[in-house]
Amino acid sequence: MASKFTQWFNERLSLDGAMKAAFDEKIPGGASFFYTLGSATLFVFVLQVLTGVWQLFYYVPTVDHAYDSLAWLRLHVPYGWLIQGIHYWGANIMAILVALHMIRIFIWGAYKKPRELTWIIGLFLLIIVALLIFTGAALPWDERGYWAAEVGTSMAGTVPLIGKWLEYFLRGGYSMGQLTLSRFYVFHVAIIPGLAFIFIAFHLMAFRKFGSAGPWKESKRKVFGDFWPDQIAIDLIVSGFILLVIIFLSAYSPAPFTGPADPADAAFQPKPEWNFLFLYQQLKLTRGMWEIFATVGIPTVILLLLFSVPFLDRNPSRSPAKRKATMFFGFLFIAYVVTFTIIGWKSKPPGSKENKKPATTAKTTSVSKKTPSAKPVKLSAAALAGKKVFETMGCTACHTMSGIGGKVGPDLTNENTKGRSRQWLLVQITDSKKHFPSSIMPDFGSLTKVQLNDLVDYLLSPHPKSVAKSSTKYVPRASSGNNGSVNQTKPGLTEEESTKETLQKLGPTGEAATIVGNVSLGKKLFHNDCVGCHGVEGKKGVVNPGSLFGKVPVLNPISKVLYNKNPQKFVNNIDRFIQHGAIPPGPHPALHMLAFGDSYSLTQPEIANIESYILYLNGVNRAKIEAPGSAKGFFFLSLWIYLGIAVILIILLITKKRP
Amino acid sequence: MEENENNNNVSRRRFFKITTWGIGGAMSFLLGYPMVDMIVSKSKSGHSIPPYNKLVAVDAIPNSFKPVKKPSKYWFTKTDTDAYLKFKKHEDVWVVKQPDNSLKVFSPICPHMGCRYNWNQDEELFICPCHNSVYTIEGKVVSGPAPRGLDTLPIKIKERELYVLYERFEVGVPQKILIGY
Repeated sequence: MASKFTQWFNERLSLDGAMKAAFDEKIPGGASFFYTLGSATLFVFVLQVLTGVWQLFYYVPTVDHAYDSLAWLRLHVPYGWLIQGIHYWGANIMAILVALHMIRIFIWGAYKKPRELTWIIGLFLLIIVALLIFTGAALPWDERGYWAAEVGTSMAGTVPLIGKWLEYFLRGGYSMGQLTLSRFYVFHVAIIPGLAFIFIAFHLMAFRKFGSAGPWKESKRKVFGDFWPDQIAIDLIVSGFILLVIIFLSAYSPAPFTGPADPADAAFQPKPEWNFLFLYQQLKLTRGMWEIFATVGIPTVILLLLFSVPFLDRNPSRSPAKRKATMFFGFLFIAYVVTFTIIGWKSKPPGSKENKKPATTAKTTSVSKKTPSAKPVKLSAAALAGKKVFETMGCTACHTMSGIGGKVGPDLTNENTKGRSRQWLLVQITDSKKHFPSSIMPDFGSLTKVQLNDLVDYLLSPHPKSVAKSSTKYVPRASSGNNGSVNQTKPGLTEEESTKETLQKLGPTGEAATIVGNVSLGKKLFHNDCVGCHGVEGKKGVVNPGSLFGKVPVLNPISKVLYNKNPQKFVNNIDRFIQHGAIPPGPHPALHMLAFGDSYSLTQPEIANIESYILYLNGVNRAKIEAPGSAKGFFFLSLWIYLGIAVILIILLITKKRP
Repeated sequence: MEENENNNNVSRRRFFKITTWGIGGAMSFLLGYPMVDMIVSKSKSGHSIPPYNKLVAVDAIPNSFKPVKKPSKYWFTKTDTDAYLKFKKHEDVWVVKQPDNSLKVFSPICPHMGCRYNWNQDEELFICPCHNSVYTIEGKVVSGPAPRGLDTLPIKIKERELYVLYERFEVGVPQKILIGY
């Protein structure tokens, strides 16, 4: 029956012939684990094609939704995390496999006549892989991919003569935008993979024409082994192991959510993918006209050298022992790439220490010790009273004075030098919108006339650049008893009920609520914009004179009304506060929650990052996988299946040995 | 001697073939199952039931039976969540105020194939332009291929205002099955 069916086919398609051509092959010296690297690379390429196409079921290449669509795929679609994870880690593993494959070929001298063309076609495949990694990284349109593409296309712009044209061509315009993403998308999913298919076919054809090169020792090549099933089985053992490793990495070390691309963000420190780090490190060492050597010169030289390897190494022997010079230069080259990659990996942009702790700028002790000129400035009695007002009424939550305070509003250290009049300052404090219509500064009309005048006196006095007294506690420390207007005994309303009431009145969630933000970027932003009132890590709300509960709400742990185990519901609750702001209950609350979203003082991606951080503080993972299919469970399932097969094979091996 | 070697060769080949099929099978399953599940199974949306939409003051709705049969159409703006998208859109519903002043709100979607039907004032009937399904002002099927009457939507009356929860139902089946908001 079956034979009749196959016969019908074979008469028309010669499947047998094709199978024979593919499998009936003798390997000089027999099958070996050393020969699995090429097939493993091919296997990972097939993995990339499958998972790449599958992601297209969900991914959209638009600047405003690419990131969200991938977040949706990863968190809400069954096994979306796995398919995306395989593609992400597959790209990294593939780069490693390509490098190992090349090193193997190099040591074995397998590029020598008549296999020069196989080596050259392989180098085209290397370029194709590099282009796939470069274009693919941009597709999520997250911080990482966006900035890598920005820098990469700028580097293309340094190519002599055609540089500017090339940059424009790659970006689809003068600057990065939707057309850039569209172009990267088409390159990544259609044009470059198409080229890859063609070159892989050539590579295999050239390989098959002369067959496996075998061991470098002539005597060993006289014995032959079978390609099928020996080498194929060994290939599959290696490929199967690689798949297991990729599943493990996808489950235990998923790609980070770096937050959507934000061209306005300077807090993010872009670094290229690790594959390109050695080029990146070189770029940092060159200046001015020499830059072109790092961006174009060195990559070109490297490629030309690689292309000419079969023609430079004309030694007829393939044994590494007889090709000492070739081996030396080869390993010198590998050492150079590895060294620069490690330096690039470890390097940090200058001043990154400051960036890491923006909130604790009050670490000025060392500065003031070095500069003894920071003498205490003598203040008048009124100014001293004003200083007290400044420190107790919540001004420091947003404004920095002498290096201490928040970053939401302008630094007021040099306010006396700006030529502001008393009247201007009085209006600014009581009705900021008169001067700046889009101002988010609360109106401090609740201050008494005396307090206002003292405050203005203080602002108009000279201030030291930083205070000598080391005090990381820049937040107002006044006890609530200081202020008569605090009304803490108003009966009835508990803090929870009040939060509930405010929540009901607030407007809808903004775009940020749908974005999966990045925790560490959110932490930075939180330190800049939120600690002034909510305290470090949201643990301690500062005193809020004139409010019913006397303090700014603590965010860690957050009010039970806002908390939710479900990350989306949790975010929906806090997002509405951050978007629209809120006025705390009480007679004259000095501090308001500012409308960071409505006032555009933070971008939506930034708000999303802060929200992810607040969730993280409260033990909720914003990037929790919702779709069925436990990541770690799936890895163990894979592990058990492999172990089961291994046990069966071992039993077979043992029983086979019996006569 | 030679026979032994041949035997060895055969069992070696058998072992490698079993290895190939075993590992190949495992890999196919570990890739195939998630890939099929990913495009066949439902995504877990995590979206919650949206709020009721404010439509119109109850007293402002004209009686739909006097002097002539005539339902009212009202527009409102709702926030739609579609996978990872969130956007505002206009939606409309048909409101019928019955002689006893009770209210019925119909989804504007024809339950046959999902077109939008119209009110024909001459016939005093709802008529769907796609396949000529015809309904009375009460939403009952008069003629045409419609498998069920017009879908009513849940309503709430708060402080003399009419609120409606916009729901979508599966079309082409006699049962009213909720499929989204």
